[in-house]
Amino acid sequence: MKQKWLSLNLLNSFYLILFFHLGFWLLAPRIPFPQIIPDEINISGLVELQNFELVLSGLLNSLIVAALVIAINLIFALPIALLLTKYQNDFTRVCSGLLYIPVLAPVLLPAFGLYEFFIRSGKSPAPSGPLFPAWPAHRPK
Amino acid sequence: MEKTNNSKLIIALLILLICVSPFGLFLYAFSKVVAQSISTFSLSSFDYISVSDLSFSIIISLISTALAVLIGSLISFHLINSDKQKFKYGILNIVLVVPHLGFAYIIYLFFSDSGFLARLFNLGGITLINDQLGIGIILNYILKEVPFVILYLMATHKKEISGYIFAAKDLGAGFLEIFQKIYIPLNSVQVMSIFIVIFAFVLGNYEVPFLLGANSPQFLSVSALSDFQSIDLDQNIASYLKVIIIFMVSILISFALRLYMRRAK
Repeated sequence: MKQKWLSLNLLNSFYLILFFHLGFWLLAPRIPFPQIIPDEINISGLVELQNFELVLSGLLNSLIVAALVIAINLIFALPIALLLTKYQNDFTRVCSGLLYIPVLAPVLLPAFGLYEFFIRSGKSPAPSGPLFPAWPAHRPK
Repeated sequence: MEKTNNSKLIIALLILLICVSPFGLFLYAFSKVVAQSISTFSLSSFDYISVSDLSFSIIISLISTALAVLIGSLISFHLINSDKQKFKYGILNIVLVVPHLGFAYIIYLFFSDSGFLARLFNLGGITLINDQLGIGIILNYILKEVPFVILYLMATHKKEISGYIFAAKDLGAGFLEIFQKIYIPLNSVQVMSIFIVIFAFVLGNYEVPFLLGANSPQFLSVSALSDFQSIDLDQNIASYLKVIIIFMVSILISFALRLYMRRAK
């Protein structure tokens, strides 16, 4: 049991070192080559050079898109999953097999297809970029 | 009679739900890409598709997936014998929620020429990132996917397998022997599923090879994105063909693995 704890702790420690190292690069203005630990920890660069307005609007956009994706997927996935598990016949088995396809598709494939439909054929309310203009900043003036 | 009507209603409901769901949108997007590729297809589009890029993508994806699944299943087998409720997975859970781009940046800072490892061991001249062998990409996927494999296999572990492992131990079998002859065959469905999922993801992902890969050979997904952004129509079509090729390779590997598993059983 002790051995198992040790191996799990070793694994956790390895990942902790990876994350900790990133922290140094974020908090130090510079780390000259052979040094591992910076001479000074100074977050002024991180704060002063950051465009917080852009970061916040980007974060908000990402959150809205993520929440919408989860909500839309749950609305459709739950009843489909319920139907597929409750009624099992040849048709539902074919459906289950088909639903496996998006797992194998590269992320670019639906993106290219939606771009083709919404942007190139001019069916999107936005001139370019987002398919669902959730944030007013992206609406054409 | 009522049962037949019921099943027809269910089939109709299922078709409706699938058609209006994001899956229907996916099918539509897929058909749009295929239709656009066919309608504007010309042989000059193939000039932009390199066989070396394709083979590089497939080989790197296979190596990184195989290593991640092997290491992950070895560690999960090592951890499985004790009561998993008592374990705290800690940082492993955090690795799962870190985006691939963020993790690729961590790998870059750790393994690059002037990164942490080069500083610690004074490794001058050894290139692990942006190299032509794709070592940086493999490292990133192994380190990112191993926790996923561990947590997945631990979560889907069946209690009766522990009994077989215990019996094998009693009969004097070693760690690797139990792993190879009991743990992997009894978890073959889970291992195969996770292999296919990770392989398809690695082959289609573009952020990690974009940040950690070399300019040549490139991952097919990276060159697909740069071709897509080009103003040349042939290059645009080449990008569509590239994503279709990636998709077909994933499906072929998935079918091949499933056939192999059926024959092995």
